[in-house]
Amino acid sequence: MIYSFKRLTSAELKAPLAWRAGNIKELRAPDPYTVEYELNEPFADLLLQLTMFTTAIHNKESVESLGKDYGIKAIDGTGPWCFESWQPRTEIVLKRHDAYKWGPSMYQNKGPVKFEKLSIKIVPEDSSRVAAMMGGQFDVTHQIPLQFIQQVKASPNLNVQEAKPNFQLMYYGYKTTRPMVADKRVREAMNIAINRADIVKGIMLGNAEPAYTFIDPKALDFADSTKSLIKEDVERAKKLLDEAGWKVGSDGIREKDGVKLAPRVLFTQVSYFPRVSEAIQGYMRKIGVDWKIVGYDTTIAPAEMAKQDYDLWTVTFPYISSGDLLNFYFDSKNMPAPNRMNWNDAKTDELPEEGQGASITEADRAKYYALAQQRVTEEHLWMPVMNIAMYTTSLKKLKGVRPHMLYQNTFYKGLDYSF
Amino acid sequence: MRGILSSVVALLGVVGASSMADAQTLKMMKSLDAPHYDGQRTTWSPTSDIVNMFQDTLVAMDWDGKTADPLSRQVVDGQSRTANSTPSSCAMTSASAAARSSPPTT
Repeated sequence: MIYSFKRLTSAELKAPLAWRAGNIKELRAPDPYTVEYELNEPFADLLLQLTMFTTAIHNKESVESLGKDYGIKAIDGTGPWCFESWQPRTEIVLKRHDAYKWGPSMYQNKGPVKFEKLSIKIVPEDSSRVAAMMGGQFDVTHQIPLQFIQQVKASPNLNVQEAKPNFQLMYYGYKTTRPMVADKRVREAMNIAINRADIVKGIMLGNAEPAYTFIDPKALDFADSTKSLIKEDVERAKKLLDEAGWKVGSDGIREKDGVKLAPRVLFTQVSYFPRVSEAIQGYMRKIGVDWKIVGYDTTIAPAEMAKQDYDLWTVTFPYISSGDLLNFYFDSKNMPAPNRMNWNDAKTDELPEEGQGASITEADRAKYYALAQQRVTEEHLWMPVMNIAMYTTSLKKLKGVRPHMLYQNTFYKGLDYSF
Repeated sequence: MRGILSSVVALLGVVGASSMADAQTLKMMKSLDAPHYDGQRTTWSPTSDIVNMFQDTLVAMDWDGKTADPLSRQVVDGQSRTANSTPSSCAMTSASAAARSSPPTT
């Protein structure tokens, strides 16, 4: 356990989410069953952060013997399943960990799991996943495209369950270091020029809620003060662009100093991203902005994102609390990713740190996180679009299925699953 | 005739074996793979769901999304600690199983 945290926080690994472990002063193991976890400063979110995959316990022997192949050719741990094989972009096979019997108290079955193997196939094409599930070729998935959920619910051999609660924001981020979106007025204009309710109704068929804030109002430490900061208003959007010096050209597209207002917008060719991007492209034309949307296949999207060549990008982000989202995205230490906004602001860095360190009361923590939410929302660093619903779809013969909300991870340990 | 019967029996055997194997394998489907499965080196959520299957965290998350459930609560019942309740990794389990099944040497 101590080795895992030392590796996570080591300079050599450059772990992008090492902050989740807090600012560790020392970890001690006075006996084989006790860990003393000492921090340099208070960290209000520590217990919640220790539930995340980043802080999982690794086997030192496996890490060292596999070297660069760790996590590719093999990997292991103390979980209920063992890694057996992986064909990238095709299939992962896990097998039962026979000795496992320390499942979390939330499960009726503490282990071992009731299947010998777990086969996870990668099926990128949306309609293929729907057809395969309806045809009974798979037992379970949490990735039925939301526009097909009603159809799948009507299928006589399938169960569909919604994960509740579930915090997942679909947003477009602005890379503030790119000239096209560097001006806050331009970002706000785009943020208030779309109709979120129509997107949710028309594309998502109601399987989402319009998002006017970065954080779901039901999440821990949500700031009520941010509710009124993004108000859809097309006329005000046009005015803001005028004020920012972007004038409407003869073709209806705004321009300044001979440059068209045509930001490059990156999205992944999966699920609702293409249709939502096309819909917003239409809204943007109405205010004289020409979104150049570029979709990439799921197999190459991560590599394309890593090139950082975009004015906006879109993803869906799962989180567990306001502090989780704020610390993940907006700290300047997290540039260039996940702080793809390249937002480098001392005040924004300081407020979540105050919230993390607020050891006196929960109200203090909420106060600092609220100030941080207000700061990043007033700067219009993101275009929040909708809070996404998440479902597990399974064959009716499969018992013990209950979707979990952690980080888009509905299966979690899968201890109660059985036929 | 005997040949046909043998073929049918053999085919039934294959089908039976296949059905049994199917019953022992849970078949899941996802849209997206991960670049690797070392959860310390990525922010990528397609890594995270698989990691939670084969690794444990010190604290589990309850269904409500906000209650932390310490691993120690499952490992130690507060009364006694035994070797059987100590989490072991898959690699360690395989190694000990291999040792148990090895023939004695002199």
